[in-house]
Amino acid sequence: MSLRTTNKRLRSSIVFVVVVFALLIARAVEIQVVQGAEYAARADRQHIREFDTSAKRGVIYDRNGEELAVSQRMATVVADPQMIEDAAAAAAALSPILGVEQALLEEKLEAAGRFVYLARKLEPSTGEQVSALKIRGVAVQPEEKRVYPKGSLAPQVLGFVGMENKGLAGLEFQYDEHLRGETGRRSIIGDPFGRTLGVLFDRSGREGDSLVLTIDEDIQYAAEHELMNVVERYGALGASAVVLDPRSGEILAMANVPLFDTNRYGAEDESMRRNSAVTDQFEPGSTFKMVVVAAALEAGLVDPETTFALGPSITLYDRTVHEAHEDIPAVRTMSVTEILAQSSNVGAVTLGLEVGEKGLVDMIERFGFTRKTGVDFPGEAAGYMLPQEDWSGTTIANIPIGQGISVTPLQLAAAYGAIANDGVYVQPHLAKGTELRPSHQAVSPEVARQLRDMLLVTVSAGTGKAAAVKGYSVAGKTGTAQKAAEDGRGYSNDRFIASFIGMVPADDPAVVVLVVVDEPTLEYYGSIVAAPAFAQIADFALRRLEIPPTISQ
Amino acid sequence: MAVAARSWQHPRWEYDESGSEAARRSAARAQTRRQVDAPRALRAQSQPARAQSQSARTTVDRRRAPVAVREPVSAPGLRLVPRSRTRLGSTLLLTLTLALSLLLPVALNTLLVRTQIDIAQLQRRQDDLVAQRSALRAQQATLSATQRVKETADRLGMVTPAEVVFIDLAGAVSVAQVTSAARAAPELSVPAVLGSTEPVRQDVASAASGGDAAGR
Repeated sequence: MSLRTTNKRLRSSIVFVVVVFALLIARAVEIQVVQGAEYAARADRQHIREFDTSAKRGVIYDRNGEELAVSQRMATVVADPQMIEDAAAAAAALSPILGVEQALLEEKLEAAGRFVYLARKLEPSTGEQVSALKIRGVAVQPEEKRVYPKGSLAPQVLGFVGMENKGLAGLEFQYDEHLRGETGRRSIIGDPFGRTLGVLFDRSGREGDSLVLTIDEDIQYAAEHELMNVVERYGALGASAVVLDPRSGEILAMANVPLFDTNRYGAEDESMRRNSAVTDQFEPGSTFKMVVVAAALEAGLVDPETTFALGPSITLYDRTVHEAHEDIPAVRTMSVTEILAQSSNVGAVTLGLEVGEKGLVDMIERFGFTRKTGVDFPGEAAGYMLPQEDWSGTTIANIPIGQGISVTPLQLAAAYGAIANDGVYVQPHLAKGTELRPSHQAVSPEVARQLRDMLLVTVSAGTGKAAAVKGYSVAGKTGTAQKAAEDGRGYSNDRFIASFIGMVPADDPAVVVLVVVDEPTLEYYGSIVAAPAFAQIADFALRRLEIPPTISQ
Repeated sequence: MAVAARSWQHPRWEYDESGSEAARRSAARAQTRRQVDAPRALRAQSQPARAQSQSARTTVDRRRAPVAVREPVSAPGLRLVPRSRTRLGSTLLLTLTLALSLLLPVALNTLLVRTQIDIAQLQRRQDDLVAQRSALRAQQATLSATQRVKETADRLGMVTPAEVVFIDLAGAVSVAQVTSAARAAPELSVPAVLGSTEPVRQDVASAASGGDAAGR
């Protein structure tokens, strides 16, 4: 073989190799440059998964650090229908584990989109079972679920969150912005088996803030327990109670019955979900007489010992107001203290006439009635009273005895809180905080003290004897109010609201307790139905708060 | 090469090698080579272009191995060959460098992926532990619920104490209060030793000394 031939072949080989390499390079350029973006995107779709990382919702604590609402990680089963090879087989395998009908699962697995939820917020062990099946296109993702470990404690107050962990009612709604935190975002590189090979970026979300309430779990439970007893004992529709620290405006308990398990909030009837202590209004009846007495005292028209000659009824235009009891003498002399202690309707109307419309309206406003208290709870009712310019000649005969005006239980508790707090009205609230709550002087400290003394007599020698708590001086007022007739005309004769509100110890009140019982059927007087419940709740609260007895016997 | 040149100029080399067997063999090989190279040289002279090319190549060779070019002049019987070890070393070094440059990124990448997998596993483990902690907290909260505690206490026959005693340090008196719970509790639940269920106001000192300080 000559050298020339060898060189020729060598050159041919070189040319061949160069051409082949040129072709390869051209193809590489086409792949990398021309179609590079498309291929890169396709590869990314296969390997890179980007998803939101749900922020953990903050915990709700009671005032002593007991968890009332926590978040727990659960398993959510999702699927990419486009990756499912055999929808029927997958549905058959998943159905018994998820507890979902096979047909429904099959329908979801054959859907057009690329993402479907098969089941949400399952027990972690269920998620592990699904993972063990290793069905292509089916994955298990962690998801937070709101859990209320105390079960039926304060369900109407706590509220609930929706499937997307957004607060929808109660304090969960009120403080949703703080509790929910910020959702994070994570991008990972995964292998075909779903394992994470690397994290491209991880913008971690912000965990929700925790919320500390003024509620005391034990007092809340005691109040609810007592209300349940009352409702059962007197065949009532429901009942509400508020336990308030008058100095700080902190609500120690806000109870409503019937109760239900907070974890099943969504399944309960709308009427049971309402926090009646804040959202419902009622005509307060005799418990409102305190306002007209306060107005008279504050105006200097009377003092506690001022007496009035009163008959069994009083007529104003076409409106006649009778005493609640029938065995009343034609004329009797009663002091202001006795009017309050005996809950005299005639006496209250008489005082109202003394005070006048303007003075009465002024005092009503100073006690915060007819406007929202501003409590940190959604859907608060403001109460209702006719504007003064729309008052008829007989309105002044209704308002002093707590008719023709609607208040919420919380408004009433806050007003009595002002009396307990030397006349300073403090805005009631549910979230514990360091900032000062709005407050104002509703009545002078002297009038507040006089009112406490008068209310003390109500319990010791008046209508509220059943509210006495051994070892403590109790000041309070009973209330028995007729409900409005269903036809809207006048008042019902067989539907009542029994209530009692009081403060204890009377000389330096630590708590104000209000009990409102809706439509008791076996008895209806506040002194019989509500006062004993007050005593039980107050007794427990005093021991819980370690308030030493103030009187010895 | 420089070492070889210096060795050649050493007088001892001239003396020892002139009569040695190895020198004779080397001289014979050089003679044979010269005879073979003579016709080539003639052909080269007839082809100026080639000669020029050859000259250029020689020049290159001189640059690469200057001692070898000088060899026939000063020592016709000896031939120095370039040290092949140097080239082998370079080749090995080059190969090693290439291999390293190829393998190092692969190894590094593998290491990175392995580390990322480890991190991901640790993160999953952390998430699991956090979830476990949350579950335990919820469980603890459930178990400590007032309602559950009360039901358990009731089941065990426990009742609220019949008397709650508050010690007023300032007044040096203790005040015992009969709780309403005790009032409501069945008789069996009140220990007989407590006696009266009425509130008691008792002097601390008298209580300590067996009640001998009445009237204080």
